[in-house]
Amino acid sequence: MRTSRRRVLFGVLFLVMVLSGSVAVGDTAAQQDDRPNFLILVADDMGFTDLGSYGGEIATPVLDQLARDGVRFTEFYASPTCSPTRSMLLSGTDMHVAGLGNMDTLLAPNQLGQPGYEGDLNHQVVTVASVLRDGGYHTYMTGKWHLGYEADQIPHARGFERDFSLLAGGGSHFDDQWNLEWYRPVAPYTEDGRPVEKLPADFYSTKTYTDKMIEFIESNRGDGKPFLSYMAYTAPHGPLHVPDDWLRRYKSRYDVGWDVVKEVRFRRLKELGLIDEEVERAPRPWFIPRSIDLAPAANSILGRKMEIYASMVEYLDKDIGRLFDYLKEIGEYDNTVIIFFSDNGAEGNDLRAMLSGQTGTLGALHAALNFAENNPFMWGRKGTYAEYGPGWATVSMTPFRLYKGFLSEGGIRSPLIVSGPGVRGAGAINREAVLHVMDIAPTMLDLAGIRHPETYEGHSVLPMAGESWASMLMGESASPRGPEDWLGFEFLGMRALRQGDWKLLWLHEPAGIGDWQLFNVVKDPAEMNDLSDQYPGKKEELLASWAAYVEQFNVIPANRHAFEQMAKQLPARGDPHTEAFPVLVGPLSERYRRLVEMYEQQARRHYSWR
Amino acid sequence: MRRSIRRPGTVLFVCLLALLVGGPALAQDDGPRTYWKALDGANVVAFQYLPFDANSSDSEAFDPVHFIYPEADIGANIFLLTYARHFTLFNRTAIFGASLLGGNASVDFSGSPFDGMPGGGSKQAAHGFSDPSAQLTVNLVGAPAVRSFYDVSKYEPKAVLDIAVMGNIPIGEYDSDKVVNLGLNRWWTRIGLPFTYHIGPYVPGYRTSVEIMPSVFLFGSNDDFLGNTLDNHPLYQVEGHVTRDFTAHFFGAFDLLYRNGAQAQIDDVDLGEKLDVLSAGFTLDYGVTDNVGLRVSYHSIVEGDSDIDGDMFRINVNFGWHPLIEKIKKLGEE
Repeated sequence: MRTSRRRVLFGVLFLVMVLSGSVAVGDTAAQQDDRPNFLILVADDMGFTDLGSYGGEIATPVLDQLARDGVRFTEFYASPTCSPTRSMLLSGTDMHVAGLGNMDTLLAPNQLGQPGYEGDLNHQVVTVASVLRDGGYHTYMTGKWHLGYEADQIPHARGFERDFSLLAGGGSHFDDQWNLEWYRPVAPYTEDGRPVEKLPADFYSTKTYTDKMIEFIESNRGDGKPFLSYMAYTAPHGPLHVPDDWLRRYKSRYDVGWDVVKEVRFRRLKELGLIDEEVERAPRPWFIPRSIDLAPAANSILGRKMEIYASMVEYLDKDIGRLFDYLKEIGEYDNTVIIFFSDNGAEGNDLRAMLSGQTGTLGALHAALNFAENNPFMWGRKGTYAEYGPGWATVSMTPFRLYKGFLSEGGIRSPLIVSGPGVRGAGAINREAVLHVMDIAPTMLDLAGIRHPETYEGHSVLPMAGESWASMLMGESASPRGPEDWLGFEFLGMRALRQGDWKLLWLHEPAGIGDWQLFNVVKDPAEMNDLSDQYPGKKEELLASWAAYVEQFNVIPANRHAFEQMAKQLPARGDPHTEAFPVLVGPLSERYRRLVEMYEQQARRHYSWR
Repeated sequence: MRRSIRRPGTVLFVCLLALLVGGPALAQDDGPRTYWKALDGANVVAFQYLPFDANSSDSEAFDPVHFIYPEADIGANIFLLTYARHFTLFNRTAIFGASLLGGNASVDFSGSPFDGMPGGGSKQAAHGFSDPSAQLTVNLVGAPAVRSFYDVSKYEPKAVLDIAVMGNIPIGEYDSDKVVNLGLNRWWTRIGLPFTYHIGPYVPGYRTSVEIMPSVFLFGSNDDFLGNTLDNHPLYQVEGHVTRDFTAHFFGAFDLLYRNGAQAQIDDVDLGEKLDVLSAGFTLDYGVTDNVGLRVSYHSIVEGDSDIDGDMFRINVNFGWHPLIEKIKKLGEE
């Protein structure tokens, strides 16, 4: 991390504004506060190419319009899983010091008891919500928290005046309220800090979170104070659930199979200028079949999962539109900085199987009670737990390799749209800025003209480590980071470091080689070509940065992890370039070409981004 | 030899018996979920046993216009063998079915004022095979062809309307000197419009349906009925079911059957009254294995001018298969 000169500049600017009385730090009774509102929209496990504006065929007209009004970014990073991302979003610093050095359920023996590895958002950090609230903002949250369950850890205790929150990592999207984990079988929701005993009968996560946010904003409408609205939607995280009348919205649209859809998305990415023409895409993971080899019925059934996923994404888009309409109606839309992103890569792991455990376990009993039904015609409804699996997850993460949970780009790259007052370059695509989720908190404080405190409630708190995007958004710079600035990642013993165009990556076998690899992720975002041998100096340079990252953020790579059995469970992986083996030849090649052409034409009829 | 059977009621009694035992469609309702679709090429063989017992009412004194003789009993043990094949016609789902009925039936007129009626003494019986019949059902609305597993993966019916045409071949056991026969000695046909409305997910364990089958039977002439010519006006029938899955392999149905018509004529002269009967009952169906199903039904006549009481219990064992599925199972066994 470098010290930002711009931050000093903003500090001076802030001081001038305070002295001139234009910013009312801590003055909650301001009559007229012209500071922007902030609307943080987080999708859960949504992929890089799912939005129309990012090359997807899913209808997302609302977010597409947001992209036209704002800027799309292609080099935005989150953590490979949800709660670490959320910890960095709210704290503005690295997960390994904010308490989410690992997911609470995945803590390794060598991490237990270590500061930064509490499994919840610790009190070494103060949330941006607390700081904004103290700085005169209303602070509202709806959706997924996943940063702690205790009274002093829940949204109401961490800066949000109003909340309707799912404290856990996921569960049913309907009112049956089952939680993912057997040991906490009922999904714990809070409203304004109090437990929600029973969800309303018409509860559907996306709908209710939107309703509640509108209710919260409406409750203080017109009092002159700006607001922070943190909308942590739980869609399209599994279980794939969508209201019945949305279930078949994408019927048969994915029968062509994942390879074909992936190819067409890849072409679309190039067409939209989101990636270079020369870029290769990651092949299908070595452990899933070619869709061209699957019987039509198999592609139909597997495609149904993607249909429901797409419906969830479109429903999400529709409800975000409902919120936008409300903000326009009350005259706040034009004064709201809107930031949309996904918390990590698309989900390709079989969480259902992990949670169900083996027969005879409490996990299996919990699964039997709540989500035993697995008939394909039932997927998407109450009582089911469908996920779309690695085949579709890698489609969502085109052109990257792998998906959620991994530190390859497929696990940590997310779409990012920023729009609002002062954001220059409507409709532009920024492919230069290397951004991170922990930048969002300092950005908001910058734009609100509020300093991050050194102490909070009587104890010192860690400084933010993210970089403000303020000057970039105002068009004064292309990126808040220079070529020497680095971003570090560690999760379940995997390691990665991005510095400039380069990325150092260490993945467990067989996903990786169990050793460091070096990629130029600008030219090779699919991380196919290990350049360690060609650029040993660069590798050493990045390794030194990695050491600095470990030192600065107390990174303790997990000594036990969920991927320990991966090498035994999955087939051996060949050379990355031959992952698509056997290659398509003869009639298969021709069939594939025709399918791609046909699907491309079909997709063009549906694109919401035109 | 031409015999006088103009005594009131006799003919319609015979007609009723014929309707009960004269063929699968005539004998009973089609049953719940009969018109549900399956993969093109699927086959079902069903064996059905129907012990039938009907009694004429003794609640009224003899009335010449009633077509059931007081105190007469009908008894029958009927076996029904059916075969159905699902296929595609005009790019719609279609079902061809063929049935053969056999068994024995008897009528006891003892104690009846008409003991010793024409064509026999106080008791008459018949045994053997009835007329074979066949039915073709083609979907009109809501169930396009299910030709492949892919089609199966897309098949989620909602409102399904078919047309069904059925007919017999009058080659079954028939003795023109008796009023009790299993064969009818005449042609008949039925035209129906089976309609099924599926409620909720079309998934085993969750399926619910409302089924209505209006149909009309048209009868040819039996020109050798005790030496006379027997005709019947059309018979109108509405069959209804509400079905519900209890589990993935077990469902139940509430059944209704209403019949009206079939006014008999002997030598162009109306005799007695037309049939007007409502029966109700229930069906339970359990899928024993992927291939074998077991079904039991109980129906009873609950309303009608015909003044008859009747109960019908039937048990049905069916075996279904599709050649490709059986081959896939074999692959799985290897």
